[in-house]
Amino acid sequence: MSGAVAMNAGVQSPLALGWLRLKQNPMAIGAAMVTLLIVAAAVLAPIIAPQDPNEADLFRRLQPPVWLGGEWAFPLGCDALGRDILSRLIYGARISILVGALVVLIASVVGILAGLAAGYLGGWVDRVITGLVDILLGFPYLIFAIGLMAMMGAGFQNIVLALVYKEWVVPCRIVRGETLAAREQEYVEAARALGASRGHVMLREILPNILSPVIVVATVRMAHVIILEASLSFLGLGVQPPTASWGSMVSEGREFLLDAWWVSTFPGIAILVLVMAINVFSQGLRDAFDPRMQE
Amino acid sequence: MTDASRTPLLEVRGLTTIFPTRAGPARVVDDVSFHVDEGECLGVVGESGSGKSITFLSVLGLVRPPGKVSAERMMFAGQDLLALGERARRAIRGRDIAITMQDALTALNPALTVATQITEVMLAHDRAGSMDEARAAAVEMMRLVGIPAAAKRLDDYPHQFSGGMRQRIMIATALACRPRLLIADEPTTALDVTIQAQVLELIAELRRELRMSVVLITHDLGVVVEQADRIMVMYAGQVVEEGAAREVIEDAAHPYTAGLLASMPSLDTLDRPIHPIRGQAPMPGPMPPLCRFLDRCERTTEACRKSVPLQPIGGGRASRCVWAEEVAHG
Amino acid sequence: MRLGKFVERFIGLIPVLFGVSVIVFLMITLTPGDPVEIMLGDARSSPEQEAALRRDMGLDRPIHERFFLFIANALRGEFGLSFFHRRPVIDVIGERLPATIELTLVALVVALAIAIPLGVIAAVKRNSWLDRVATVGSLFGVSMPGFWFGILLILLFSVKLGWFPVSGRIGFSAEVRSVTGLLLIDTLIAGRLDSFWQALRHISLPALTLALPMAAVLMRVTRSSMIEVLRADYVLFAEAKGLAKARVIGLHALKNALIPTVTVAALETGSLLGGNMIVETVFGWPGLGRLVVEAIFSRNYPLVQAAVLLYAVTYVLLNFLADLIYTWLNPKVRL
Repeated sequence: MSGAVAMNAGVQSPLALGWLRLKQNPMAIGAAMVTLLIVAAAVLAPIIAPQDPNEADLFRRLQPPVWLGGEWAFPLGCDALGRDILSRLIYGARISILVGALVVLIASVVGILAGLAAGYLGGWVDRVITGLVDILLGFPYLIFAIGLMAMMGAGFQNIVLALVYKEWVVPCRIVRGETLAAREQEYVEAARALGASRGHVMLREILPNILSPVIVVATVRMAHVIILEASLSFLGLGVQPPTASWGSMVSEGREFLLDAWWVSTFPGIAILVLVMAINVFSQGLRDAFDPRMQE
Repeated sequence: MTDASRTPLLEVRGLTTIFPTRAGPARVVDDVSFHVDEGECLGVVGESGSGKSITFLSVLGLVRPPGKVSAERMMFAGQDLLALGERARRAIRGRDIAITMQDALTALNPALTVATQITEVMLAHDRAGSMDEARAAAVEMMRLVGIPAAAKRLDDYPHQFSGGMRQRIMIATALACRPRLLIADEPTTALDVTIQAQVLELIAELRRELRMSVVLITHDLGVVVEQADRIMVMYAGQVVEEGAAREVIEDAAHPYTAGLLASMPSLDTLDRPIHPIRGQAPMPGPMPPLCRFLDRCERTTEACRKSVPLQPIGGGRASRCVWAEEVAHG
Repeated sequence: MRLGKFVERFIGLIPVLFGVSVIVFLMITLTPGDPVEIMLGDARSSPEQEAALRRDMGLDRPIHERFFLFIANALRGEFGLSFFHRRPVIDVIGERLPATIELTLVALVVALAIAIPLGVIAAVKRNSWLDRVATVGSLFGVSMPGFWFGILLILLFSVKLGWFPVSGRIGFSAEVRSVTGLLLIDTLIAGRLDSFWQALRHISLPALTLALPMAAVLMRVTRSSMIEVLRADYVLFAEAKGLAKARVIGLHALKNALIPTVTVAALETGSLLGGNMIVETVFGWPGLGRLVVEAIFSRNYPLVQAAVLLYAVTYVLLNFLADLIYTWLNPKVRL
């Protein structure tokens, strides 16, 4: 494995080399496939979900999974309202993935712009942004989100906002640090000497060169955000019923742990599997692309 | 004890230490044999990467996996080191054989006081019955190596001392149990020129005072010239030349030693220009069966394109060069 | 560290604390909905009553005045009345605080007790099966949602095996006089080992749940810093002194390897503070976290505001503490 990498080292760019290393990491590839599978399920939910996720049927209340005497039409059993758990899991994936992706995406855009501005422009811009960052770092993440959700009220849009308000700090700090370092580099000085505008230097010269740590961190953060969303939903501060989300499904099943363990257990497993897959993949990304981590 | 002059304190034969590398197993120490007599100072000279430090870490049993050490014979003061278990080897380390490392700044633990670091050796080897006793002995040791206000500075941390003082503290730590053999690994490299001489002088003094043997490992022939009784020159894991210090320096019998001498600025050769050895030492890895100095040597001939054994050339000397006689007298 | 430097750093906290309070203030003020209406609820009230209440709460004044009033009151520990309890917020919080502090401290101890030995063993026996198990375990730890882990523990150890109680802090019969508010200590002061044992059994599962993600992170930090430290010259030198392996690893290596661990531990207590809300909800633990969650649903805003501010200030101070500990552990920085 290392031999093949070494042989190609002379002819390939660091990026291509990274991809090569990533492709040779079976754990990372497996994790990526699991993640893609869940994403595909979320996207195709209306087609593949066997039932309507919100259709209640009290005759099926707490019906067990198929291998415990349930029926094939409701393979993982039903919840307290007789809704199909598998279908709710599939639809619930939409919330987890959408919140995770949107929060990290928006936070990355905001954080990158703020970090570039703080690092490159310096002066009062830097002071204002770092000041804000320091203040936001003063809040434990979940408390901040819970506080905001308490004020703004539950709902999909508010979850995304509540998490973005704090999440942008992470890419911002990374980008600011990298920009400060990049500002002194030759390629930036050259661009400046050639009369490039500040916007051009920041977005066209610096940004492409510092993007890879941001992307690596963004994947870990996505796993983190998914857990936070699930936690908020668990507390009842997430998307509102009857919309299915994994966190609220676990919460709904708590009362029936004794008689119907499946109501809480399957959504719990779903969160664990998705978050773990993303974490493993992001570890693979880091090993492949961040040369500082290698021995 | 009656035969002390003829039985060496340390005798090593066929020592080989192998590390796996990407290219294959590297014999970092390759079939090295030597001995250190009672009270003697052996100078071990070579560039970094020549295997001189690993040789002595191997003797101490401190080579970490995946490194593998093997030897035909390894005797210390009548004990067969190869037959000893880990526990018995550990009892010898620090008590009978001590080592000082190149840079005291990294060898002393930054998070522990000097007192802890000196006393723990004595306590570990039962050279002190109580902490008070150990502390008193530590102060005495610090005085011996020339640290002013030793009692007051006992509870300081290493970073609170100057470079030269730190080096002395490391030496005090190594000598805390009055070992019979001190391995001084590059004792002067990390120091300013003015302090280098002081530290060398200190080691020489302590050697006389404590009647111990010393192995002086260095890349700098100048360091061993004054101190060593005998010299062993290492190159790429092998011993390339050995003999009495004066003779080796006066007429080197291996082109590498000659090269080291030529590249050394010294008072009696001020009129000569300095000639650094061209090229670089080979990277650790599997070696072809050729003279390892081949591509850096100025005498290379067809006869050098085979593996050359270390051969005695008379007068207790040995060289690993086909042209040993010519080099020595040419 | 010199006192001057300490004071200087402490003063540096003030702008952060100020900013934190601005945000907490804005959280509440910009909330849609009229606090007076919420407070009066469905009870019928005259416009005069409403106006009086509005005046009492200072809601008739401009926003900047209200902010300074908020700060001035906060500094005196006055956060108004808890809508729900009809008592000062600060008293309600004070009642619940010890339970949360106890849970957090025990979780911290549990996290360190799991993370440090595992991290050290994983580093010393690198690439062994033990190392692999620990690495996979820490992956589980960071990927496991706390609320679900808590439920699993209850299901397995309380419901199925009956080893631990399902919820609460202590049984009724076992209650003792409150001295510190921390039951594990109060029961010992009272000399009631049976009560202590009960309190310990009650706190075990919630503390473990709270500790898990932190233990996972600290395990990784300890492992990687230990691996680095084990390569250091001073460890080799310590071995060359003929010291016992336990001393080389347990003192020479560990004392240096713990520097990042302790620093990260102090920073990670933020995850403990947030995790409190989840864990206390899952285990019915009568602490501040559950109080806040309840307050959110009863729209008891003054209490939420005070609690969020308290958490944030605690967190800022903990970060400051992390800084101090780092300096103290690292003699090279301590000048």
